[in-house]
Amino acid sequence: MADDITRDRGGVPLAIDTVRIDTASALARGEGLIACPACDLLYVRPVLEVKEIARCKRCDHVIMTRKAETLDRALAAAVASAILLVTAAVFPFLSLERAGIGREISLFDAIGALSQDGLWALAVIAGLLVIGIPAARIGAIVYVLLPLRLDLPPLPRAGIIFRHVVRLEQWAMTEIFLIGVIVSLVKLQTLADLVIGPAFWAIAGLVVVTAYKSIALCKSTVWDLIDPARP
Amino acid sequence: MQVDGLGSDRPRTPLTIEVGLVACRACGLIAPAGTARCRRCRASLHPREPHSLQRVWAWLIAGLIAYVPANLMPMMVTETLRDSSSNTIVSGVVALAEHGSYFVALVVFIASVLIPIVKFVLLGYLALTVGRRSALSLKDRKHLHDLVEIVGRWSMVDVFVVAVLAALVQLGALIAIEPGPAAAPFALMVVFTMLAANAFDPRLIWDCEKREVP
Repeated sequence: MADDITRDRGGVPLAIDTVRIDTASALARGEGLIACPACDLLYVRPVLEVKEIARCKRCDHVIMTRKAETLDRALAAAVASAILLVTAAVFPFLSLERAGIGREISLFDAIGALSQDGLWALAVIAGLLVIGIPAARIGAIVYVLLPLRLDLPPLPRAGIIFRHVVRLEQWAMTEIFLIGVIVSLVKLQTLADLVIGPAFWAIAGLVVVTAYKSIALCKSTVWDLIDPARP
Repeated sequence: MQVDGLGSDRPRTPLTIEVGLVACRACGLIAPAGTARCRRCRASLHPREPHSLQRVWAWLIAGLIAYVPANLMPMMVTETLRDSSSNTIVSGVVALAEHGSYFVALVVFIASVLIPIVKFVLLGYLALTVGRRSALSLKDRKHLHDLVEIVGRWSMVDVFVVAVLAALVQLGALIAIEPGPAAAPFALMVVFTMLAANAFDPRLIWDCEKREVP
């Protein structure tokens, strides 16, 4: 069976489940179509029910989602993240005591410790991974989602900014930092008396909220609100 | 719910020149072929990421180069009243195991040794098998790429462990921990291999599949 798309380029309407493509020019513009980002297979753009997920038939990649109340949930998570991040930065993180000598550190001290020996670049990288990029993503999510939630048009450059929110998700490594801290604590258990400060719990909470945020955020919905696929 | 193709089970034409369209990999918007930038997210549009494999190999080799000092030089230096000891990644794992901290040793071993090696092997495999048949199915290869992307960042754990220990254990002459020279190349290795995984365009995997071609 020859390919439907090229066969119908002559202008014959395609009768499909959810979308009717009536003219060759509409097809040429890509209206009503969606592609799998992982294997480039072309599909008719479906209309999803809430909580439905559209997967690629060939490679199983998630193409479209429609998550419930994504704006509310993602914004709530972003606000919570901001509060927790500030808490983590401001309050004491960990402290150690042995034979009468004690030391208390903040989150910044932990990052800054990598800059001993003149290697400040490593501390900068770590600072970005643990604090900088997560903070930027929180701000960016609010910048993009809040106007949408208030039924206002998106702010300038919302598209670029949201693209980076998605792209930088893997570079926000707060949860990896937390595991690193836990491993350190286990190592130090026998060595000295450890006190876990509020900042530690704020980071633990931040990890949970961040996970929730990534589950709650429906990229398809947000993209459609920023600029619908159909002109 | 499976998205329906245009009426048949056979794979439909990909988005390239054949249909005259291009999809934005970042936001999914479809535009006519030749459009330079996505109207919605301003990403540059390409049917396939240009020089994807070249960039994958470049980052992968950079990661391999960084991994050498990361393993040969010490990751952490411990100074006590009596002596000064430095540990590389591997010697640190061994020391932990000897000390009885098997779980911690396992975590560090997996994050700092196993995952990087697996990433090098898998990314190399993915890059080599593009356009060719291999023991694994195309779908399995796609899942492998997903796996590498998800798991890769966790190697950074050891860098954070060193950071916290060096920050915390500063008790003057009693005991002090400093990060070793391996920390920076190791962090770079993690970054480079993450960039290598990102540079790989998964659509390339499918380009060799037999399709119905007009």
